[in-house]
Amino acid sequence: MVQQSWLMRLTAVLAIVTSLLLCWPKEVGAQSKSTLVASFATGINSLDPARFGNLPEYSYGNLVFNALAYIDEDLKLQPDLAESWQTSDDLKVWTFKLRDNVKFHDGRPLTADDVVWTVQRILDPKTGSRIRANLQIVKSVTAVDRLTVRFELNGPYADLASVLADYPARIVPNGYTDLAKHPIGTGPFKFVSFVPGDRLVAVKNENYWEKGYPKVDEVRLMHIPEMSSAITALESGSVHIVADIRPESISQIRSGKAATVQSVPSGTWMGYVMHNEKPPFNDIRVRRAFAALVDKEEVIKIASFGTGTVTHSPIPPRHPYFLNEVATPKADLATAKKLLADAGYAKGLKLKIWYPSADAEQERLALALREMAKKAGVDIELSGVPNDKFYGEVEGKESLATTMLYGRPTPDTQTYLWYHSTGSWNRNMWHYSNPKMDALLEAARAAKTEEERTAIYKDVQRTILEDVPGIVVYVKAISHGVRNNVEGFSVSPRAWLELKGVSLKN
Amino acid sequence: MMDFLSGGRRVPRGFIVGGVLLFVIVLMAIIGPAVSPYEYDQMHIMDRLKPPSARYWLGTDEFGRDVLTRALYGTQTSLITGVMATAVSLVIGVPLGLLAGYRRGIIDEVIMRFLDLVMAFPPLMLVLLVAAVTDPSVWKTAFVVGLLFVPSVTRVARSITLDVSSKEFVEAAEARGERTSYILFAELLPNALPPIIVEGSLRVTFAILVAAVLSFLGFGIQPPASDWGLMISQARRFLAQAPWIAIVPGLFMCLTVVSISIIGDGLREYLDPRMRRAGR
Amino acid sequence: MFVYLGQRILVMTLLLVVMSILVFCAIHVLPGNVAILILGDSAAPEHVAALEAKLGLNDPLHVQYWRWASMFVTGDFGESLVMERPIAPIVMEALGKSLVLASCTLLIVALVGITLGVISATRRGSIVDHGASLFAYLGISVPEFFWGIVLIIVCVNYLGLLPASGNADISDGIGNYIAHLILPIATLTLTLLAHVSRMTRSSVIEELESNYVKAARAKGLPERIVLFRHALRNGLLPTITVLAYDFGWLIGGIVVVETVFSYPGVGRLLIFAIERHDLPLVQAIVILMTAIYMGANLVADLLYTCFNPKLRYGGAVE
Repeated sequence: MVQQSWLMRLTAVLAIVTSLLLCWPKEVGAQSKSTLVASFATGINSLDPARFGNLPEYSYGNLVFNALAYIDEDLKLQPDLAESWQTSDDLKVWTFKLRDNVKFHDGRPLTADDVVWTVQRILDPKTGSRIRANLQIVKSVTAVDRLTVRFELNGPYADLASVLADYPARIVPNGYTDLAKHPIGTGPFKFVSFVPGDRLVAVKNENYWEKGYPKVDEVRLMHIPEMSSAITALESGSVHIVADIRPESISQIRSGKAATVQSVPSGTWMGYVMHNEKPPFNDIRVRRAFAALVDKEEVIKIASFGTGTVTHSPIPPRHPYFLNEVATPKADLATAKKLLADAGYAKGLKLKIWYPSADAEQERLALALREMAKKAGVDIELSGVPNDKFYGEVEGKESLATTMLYGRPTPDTQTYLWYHSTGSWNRNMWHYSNPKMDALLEAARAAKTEEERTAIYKDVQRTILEDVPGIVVYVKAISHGVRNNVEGFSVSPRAWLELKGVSLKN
Repeated sequence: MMDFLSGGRRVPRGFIVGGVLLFVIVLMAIIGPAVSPYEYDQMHIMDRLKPPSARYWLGTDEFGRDVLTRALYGTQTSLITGVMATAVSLVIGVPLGLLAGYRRGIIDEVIMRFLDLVMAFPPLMLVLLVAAVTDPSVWKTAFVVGLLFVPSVTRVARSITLDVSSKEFVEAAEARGERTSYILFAELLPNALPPIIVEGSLRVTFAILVAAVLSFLGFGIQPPASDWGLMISQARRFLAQAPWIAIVPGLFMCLTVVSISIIGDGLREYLDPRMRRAGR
Repeated sequence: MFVYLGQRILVMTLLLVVMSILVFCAIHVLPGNVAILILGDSAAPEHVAALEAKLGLNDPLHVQYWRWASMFVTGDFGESLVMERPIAPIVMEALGKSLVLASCTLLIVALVGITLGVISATRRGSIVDHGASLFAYLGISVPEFFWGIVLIIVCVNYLGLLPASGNADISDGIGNYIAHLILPIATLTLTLLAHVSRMTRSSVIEELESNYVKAARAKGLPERIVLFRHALRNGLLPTITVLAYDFGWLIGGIVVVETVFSYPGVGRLLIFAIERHDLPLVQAIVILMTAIYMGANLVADLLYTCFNPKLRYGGAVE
C-alpha cells in the first residue's frame, strides 16, 4: 500500500514529463534565421581542400571556397574566380585573368599570389593531396600581375581549366597554414565550427562577391551514418536534404508526403577489375569471355536495385564524346564458353573475387558476377575484406576484384590515369598496357579541335571494348532525399551538393 | 519465477524447462540446415525482402536468402563459438585456479595479481583491439573471448580449492607422496566441478553475446557467413521495409541464451544443497 | 586506506602505460597505413613515401612511441593525423556526450531498478515478481544493439513517435534534445536493469529475513518504517557497488549504442580512429576510457570495502 502510492506518484510524474517532451516542436529552422540542414552517411575527415576525398568534404568545399572555374550540371565549364582564360597555340601556356574585388572571409583581397600558393601546395608531396597526379603536367605557375596567373606546362594539355575546377583545387589564402583548424576561403559561406562525427556549421558570407547569393543564413552538414535514421530525420523535418541515398533505401521515403527523391545519373562508375598480368586474365580470351558472360542489365537490377545506367567506360553516358553506337550486348554464353575453352578452361575455372565488405553495392556486384559466371562453368568464391585491407593489400594485386570510382571532370582525367601504361591508377588496378592506347591518349591531350578530340576519344572507347582491361558495367544514379519546402535545389551529376542558390520555403 | 523454476521434487523445474528448450534449439540447429531446402548463401535475388510466406517461412533478406535457414546456421556458429570460448577459458582457467588455491603462497599471489591486471582493462576495448588486428574467423573470436573469461573461471576454481584442500583425502594423498598434478586433477578437480559447471554455463551465454557484439561491429566473421550479430548489423539498412531480417536472429539469440541461463540457474539451485551437504 | 589508494593509483598508471604500448603495437600490425588512407588508394608510391616521412612514420618504432609518450604526459595529446586538428578538444567533446548518455542511464537504472527490486522483494512470488524476473531475463539475453533496433522498429518506424538518431543540439530546444536521447538511454537501461533489480531483490529479501528486522517488527513498528529505515539502508549497499561497476562497463560498452543511434560519442570516435589508423587519436581515446573504467572500478571497490563490515554486523543504528 505504502509502496504503491509512492510508485504511483513517481509514475504519474514520469508520464506528465514524457508527454510534455513529446509535444515539443521538432522542426529545425522554425526560428527567424533560416538554417539548411543536410546529412551525409560518411564523415568529413579534413577541412583542408587539398586533402578532400569524399562527398561531404566536396560539399563543404562548395560552401566555403571557390575554384578558378566550375563545372555546371550540364557538364560545361563556367568561370568562377577566374573571369576568363586563354591558352597558347601549343596548349602549353595558360593565362587566367582573376576577378577583381573578391575578398577572403578575413577581409584580405584575392590576388594571383593566392592561386600560385594553392597550386604549389597541391604539388608539394608533403601536403598529401589527392590530385597531385592530375596537376603534374604543371611545370611552373607564376603571378604575372595582381590579377593574372600564368601556367607553364610540361606538355600540351587541353583540359587545364577543367582540372583546376576539380574538388581539391579550391583557392586558399597565400601562406596560410591553419586550413585544417580555421579554414578561410572566398565562398558563399563562412566556416564556424566542426565537430568530427557530428556536424559542420557555416554561416552566410555577407560580402560574397556574387550578388544575390547565398540565400540561407546558415548551413549545417550533419554526419548520420545510419541511412534509416537520416531518412526518418528527413521525414520529421530535422534534416532538409539527405545526400546520396542508397538505392535500397529509396523505397523508404513514402514519396510526396514530406520529401521526394531526386536523381540523375552520376559519373561514379562500378565494374570488375582484372589483373592483366596474372593468370587467368593475362589471356585476352578469358577477359573477353567474362565480358561476354556479363549481362549488364541483370547486374544493374541486382546491384543497384535498377537505378544505374549501363555504360562501358569511365566517360559518362551523357557526355558528348560517349560512344553511343555500341549496342549493349546481352550475355552471350556460347561465345563465353568457347573463349574459355580456347584459353584452356573447358573444364571450368575457379576464382576468388575480392570486394570491400563495407560497401553493400560492391558486394552485390560481386554476387551478380558469381551468379552469371556459374552458367559458364566458372566457380567464383566471394571474399569480402575491410577497407584498409582492400586498398592496402588487395587492389592491384589480386586477380579479380570489384571497384567503384567517383567521376572525374574531363575525358582526359577520366581515362588517362587508368588506361595509359604509366597511369598511377592503372598500375594500381588492372596493369593494362597497349601502345596503341597510349598513343591515342597522348594525341587527345594535344588535339586542338572538338571534332578531333571526339573522334580520338571514341577510338579510345572502342579499344577499351576490344581489349577489355576490366569491365565497366554501369554508372550509379546519384539520389538525394529533399524535403518539399526546399527550393532552388538541383542534383549535380558530380554528386556533391551545391547549396548557394537553395532557399527554404516556410 | 525463480521460485517456480526451482520448485519440483528431485530435479528443479527450471532444469526441465531450460533443458527442453535448449534441446529443441540444438536439434533445430543440427538438422534444420540439412532439412531446409535452401543454403545459407543461396540467393533468390528476385524474391528479396519478402515477408514471411509459405515459401520462405521467416521471409527473405536483401539478397533473397531464406532468413530461417540463415538463423539456424547462425545458431550453429554461435553455439560452437560459445562452447569453444568456454572450453578455452576452462582449460586455461581451471588448472590456474586449482594451482593457486592448492599451493597458495607466492604462486597464488602471482597468479591473482596477474589476473587483476587483465581484469583491470575494459573488456570490450581489449577484444576490439585484438579482433581489429587479426583476420576475423570463428576460432580467433572464440579464443579471444575465451581468454577474456579466464579470470572469472580461475577465481571460482581457486575459491573452491581453498575450501577443499584442507580435507583429509588431500592430506592422505600428500602423505602417500602423490605428485601435485595428480592431487590437482584427481582429487581436487572432482570437488571443484559443480561450481565450475555452473560458471561454465554462465560463460557460454556471455561468450555468445560478446561474439555477437563483435560481429555486429564488423570485427567478427565476415559476410556471407550467417552469424547472428552480422545478420542484425546488415539488417539495419532495411529496418523500415523488412524488419524481420533483424528480429529473427535476435529472437533466436534470446531463446538460446535464455534457455542456457535457465539451465545454469537450475544447476546452481540443484548443486547448491549438494555442496552444503558436503560440509562446506 | 590511503596506502591502499596510493598503491592502486600506482598500479593504474603502470597499466595505462602497458595499454598504450599494446595499442601502439596493434595499430602498427594492422594492414594499410594512415598515409595511404589520406592519399587515397591510387596514390603513387613516391607520394605515399613523402607523406609517411612528414608524419614521422619511417622512424624506428621506439622513437615514434617515445615522441608520442613524452608529449602525452605533459598533457599535449597531439594532432589527429587525418584531421590535422588538436585531439584534446575533439576527445573531450565526444567524451562529454558519452558521459551525458552514461550518467542519465545510470540514474534511470538506479531509480527503476531499485524500485523494481524492492517491489519484487516485498511481493515475493506474486505476478509482479515473476513479471519482473522475466523482464530481467529478457534484458540480459540479447545484446543492447538488438534492443536498440527493436525500439527503433517500434517507436520510430511503426509509431513514428521518436527520432532514430540520438544527436540533437540543445540550442534547437530542450524538448527536442531530450526526445533524441530517450531511445539510446532506454536501450542501455534495458540491459543493466536486470542486474540491478535482481541484486536489489536478493539483498532486500536477505535483510527482511534478518534478525534485527524481525525484532523491529516484533516491536510493532509499521511495515513502512521497517522497510525504509532498516531493510533498505543495508539492502541497497550491494546495489550501489553494482551501479558503480556498471558505470565503468557503460563507458566501455557504449560503442554499440552509439553506432546504432548515430550518437557522436567517444565510442564511435574510437571506431573512426581505428579504421583510419589515426594512432594519436586512438591512443588518447583508449587511455582516457581505460582510466575512467579503472577509476570507476576503484570507486566501486572502495565502496564495497567501506560497506562490508556494516553488512557483516547487520546493524544500522536505530
